Amino acid sequence: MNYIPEIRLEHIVKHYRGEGGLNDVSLTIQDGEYFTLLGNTGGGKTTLLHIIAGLVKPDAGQILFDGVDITRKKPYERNLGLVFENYALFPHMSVEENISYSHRVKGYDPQETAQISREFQHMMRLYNREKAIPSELSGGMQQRVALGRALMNMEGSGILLLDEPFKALDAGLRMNLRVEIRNLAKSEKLKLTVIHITNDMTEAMMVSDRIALIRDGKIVQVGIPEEIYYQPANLFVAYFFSDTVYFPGVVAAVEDSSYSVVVAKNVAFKVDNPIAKFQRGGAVVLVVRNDYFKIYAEPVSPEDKDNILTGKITTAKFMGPFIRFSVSLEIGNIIAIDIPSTYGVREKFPAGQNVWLTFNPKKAFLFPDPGEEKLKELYFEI
Amino acid sequence: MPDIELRGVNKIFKGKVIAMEDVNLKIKHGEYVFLLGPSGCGKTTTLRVISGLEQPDNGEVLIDNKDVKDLLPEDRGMGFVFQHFEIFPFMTVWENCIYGLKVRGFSDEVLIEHGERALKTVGLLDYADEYPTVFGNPGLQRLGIARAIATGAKILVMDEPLGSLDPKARLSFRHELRDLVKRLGLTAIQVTHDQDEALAIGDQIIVMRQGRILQYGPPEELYERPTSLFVANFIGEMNFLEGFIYPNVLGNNYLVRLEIRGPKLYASKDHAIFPDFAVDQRVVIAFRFEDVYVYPQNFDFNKPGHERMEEELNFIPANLYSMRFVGKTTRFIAKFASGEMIQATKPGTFPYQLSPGDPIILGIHPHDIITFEHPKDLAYEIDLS
Repeated sequence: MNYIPEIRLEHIVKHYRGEGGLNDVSLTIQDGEYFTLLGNTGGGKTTLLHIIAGLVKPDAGQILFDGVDITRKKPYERNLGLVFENYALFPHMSVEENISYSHRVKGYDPQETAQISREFQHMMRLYNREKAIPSELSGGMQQRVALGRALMNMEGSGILLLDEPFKALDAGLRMNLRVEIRNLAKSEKLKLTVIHITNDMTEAMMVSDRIALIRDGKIVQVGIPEEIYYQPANLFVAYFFSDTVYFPGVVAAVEDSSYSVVVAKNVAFKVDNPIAKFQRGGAVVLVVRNDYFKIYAEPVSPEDKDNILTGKITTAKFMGPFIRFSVSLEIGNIIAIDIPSTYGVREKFPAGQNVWLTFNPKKAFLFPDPGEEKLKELYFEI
Repeated sequence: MPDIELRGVNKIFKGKVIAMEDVNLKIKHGEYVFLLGPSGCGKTTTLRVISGLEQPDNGEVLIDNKDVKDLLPEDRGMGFVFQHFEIFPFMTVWENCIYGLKVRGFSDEVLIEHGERALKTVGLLDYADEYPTVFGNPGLQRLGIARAIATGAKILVMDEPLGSLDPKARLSFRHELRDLVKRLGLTAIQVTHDQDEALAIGDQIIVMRQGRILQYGPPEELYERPTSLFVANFIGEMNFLEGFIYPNVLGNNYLVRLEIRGPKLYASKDHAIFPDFAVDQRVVIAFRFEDVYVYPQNFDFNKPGHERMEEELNFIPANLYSMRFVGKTTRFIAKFASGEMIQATKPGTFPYQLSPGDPIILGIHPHDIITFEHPKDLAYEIDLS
């Protein structure tokens, strides 16, 4: 009975006066897929969600649900479930009335409506609160009511749109709801197609089958979480998912997929990267995630390890699961690296300690050097 | 050198909402201090009392050993940074930056010297003649900080200063903020609802709940030696299991048996809150997600290089419930045969193929387990709302 269509966006264009909008976006979201649009504020992800929901008309392009063009259909004709950041519940209505709203305005059989509403209340773990009004509920519970209402509104279309659903919640609650919502979407009973938008990379990684990273109205990369994390398409994607350390350099030698990159006088790093395509002499940026470094308090032999950097710890800051070491490198840079704060690490690496850092050649990325100006722009967001 | 001190401060709103109850604290010069706690815990009221935006019902506020009751906020030597920036869009970056100095009637030489230094410190000197509309949220907050430090304030008071930034910008900006505070030798007081932020850049963290200070100490101490179940749950990610003390003779450890007929675990006595638990006493043990080792059932502990992992670890058989790669870590949820759920996080990608339901082995080191006295109402003690 659950009819789950594929969603296809073809060449969507939307211009606003001034900034923002979308520039030729095409995407296909599969049946039953949990798909996330990820990006910073102003990147265009909300506009795209609103176009799918029918709340905004595109200037050009088509939206197809299972091959049928629905670009001109009204929002209520699309039978989608929609959940917003601020819950958008009716403040004067009870939990029960909020959840059953769509069925009541459509004039469906009251008994059947009450029955379905009860089912969704249970599914959202809202027990014995049917008469409560939103202001009597915690933020987490209000968001559960909003989800219940969205699920009821879908009427078998199986498409749920989530607009930053957990942004207003506290950290602990947010973590739990992420796990819950994915389990719900994947449950045998619902098997939802979900389009979730967020600016939080961890949230995207936690809930998604696939992620589309969107920036300046364009899709930068689409892929499963592992792919987008381990094979970033460009410098921005690498930068976006975690703190990174970068070294501008020049390709000194290429052998199959192994590169030697000179980053300072007499200092070359090895990078094994089958995707990179660079010629000898090419100007590149070598990027390493800042939790990929190993740290030693004794000299490391080049025979044992590739890519050795020497330096001195300037500051060590405990951050919980990680310790952030600021290391002044012999080649001149100061870099910040995160090392798991396992037992004894702090005592072993105090400020002033000489250290040897290494990183795995397979875990470094290479990108074309965009120039100092562009690098600064990326790392120093204005 | 301004130290900030609160002595016996109480504040009750509308005669019934207790925002601060007998709050005593001392902030040393040059420290970066965080006020942390759930909504309504009194952290913002505490910040407002320190800055003079709110008068305490009783008790004293001292800055540099002087009672500041009669000093207006602008006369307390503080710079203010706000969540929503409060930047004037119709003034240039420069005009915004020197606003505080100008209304105080300083000479042009002072305006130029202080204004330029402040904009340079936050990296915005090149934008002095532009209007703030060219900035996104990170730029606006840099300007907010420049305006706060341009007055020469030695104390920076910040209410959720990173609350309006996107997560990625927030992650990098927080280190920039700490660097700036340290470079200028400022005392900083910051309210946040983001525990990670307080851990990452604070020198000291004050955790409040229901108007009272629960714990005040450096991040290491709150993380490794939380003195209450609430702080243990509020800071970082923690598993809690209920059990009781079992007779034990092995090392300086308690042996804790999980309820009911659950597995037994060794927990270091050195890391217990209250050291002397008696046999049969009910306890709660707590350990962090990242301190749980996860092994596939057929893991070969005899393989060279693997032996050291076995040393002293508690091993508990469990079944995998879910496993999810989230970038920096992989997150696990596991289930004991007795029903309890345990969460674990491991760096990067997990090297073994596992599916939900698969038998696994969890390893937990006794020195990573904190033992608490069992409270009357565990759910209430660890309730974060």
